[in-house]
Amino acid sequence: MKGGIRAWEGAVAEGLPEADLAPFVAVSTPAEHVAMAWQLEEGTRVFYARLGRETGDAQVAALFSELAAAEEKHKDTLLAVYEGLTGRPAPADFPKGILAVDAVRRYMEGGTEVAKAIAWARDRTPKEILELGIAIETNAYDRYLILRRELSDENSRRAFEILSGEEKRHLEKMSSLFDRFVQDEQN
Amino acid sequence: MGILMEIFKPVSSWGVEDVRRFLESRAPEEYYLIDVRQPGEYEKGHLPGARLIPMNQLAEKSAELDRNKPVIAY
Repeated sequence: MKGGIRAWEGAVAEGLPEADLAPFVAVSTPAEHVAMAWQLEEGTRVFYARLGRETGDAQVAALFSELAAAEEKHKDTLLAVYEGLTGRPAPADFPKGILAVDAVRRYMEGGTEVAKAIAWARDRTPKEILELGIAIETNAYDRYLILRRELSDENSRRAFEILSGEEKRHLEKMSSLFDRFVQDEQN
Repeated sequence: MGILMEIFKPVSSWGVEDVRRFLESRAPEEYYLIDVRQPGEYEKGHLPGARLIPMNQLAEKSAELDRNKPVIAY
């Protein structure tokens, strides 16, 4: 590609501000990857639900509320994938005990702690928060594309095909709303 | 460079818009999107779904690629 990644003006999967990537390095097995994805979906759901309630912008609130509900469904899908991979029901306190991540420090996509992301968002404009949302969804899309490619189990691959497709649609919705804010600024 | 030329022979140097249109029109299973930079650069940011194969490992890893699929490298 001419110009390499510097020429690319689309979404790039990258760590978010203050990202702590150490817990991600410790994840190795397919089941651990799925458990980590579940944990990140939960963290992202909490972020969207909280910001959806706190933002003063009706369009952002509606989108984040929709996304929080979608993340809940993604968690159900991931739980089913985990049980398919391990051949046994997930423990009631899933994913505790499977991940070497302190369950209290909840992470979201991009490797940022949810509490830090919420604190960051408090002083930001809806447009800036959407920018963070685009980064979150790009990371989720990247994660599911890679899991879709790397897992050999056909059922898992199909599940990640659906999840990556949904994350892509979220990304498009978020980008579309972001573009409207940019246009409003220019008008 | 012989083997590298063999891998990349069908792909000329595409602009960003060509790549974007291509990625949008195909399922991820239909192509290889390869980041040939170093692992640290990949970790800082990469195109969604890109596979990391640093330049110095391309010759070795190329055997794992299906030669019937197009390769996009950056």
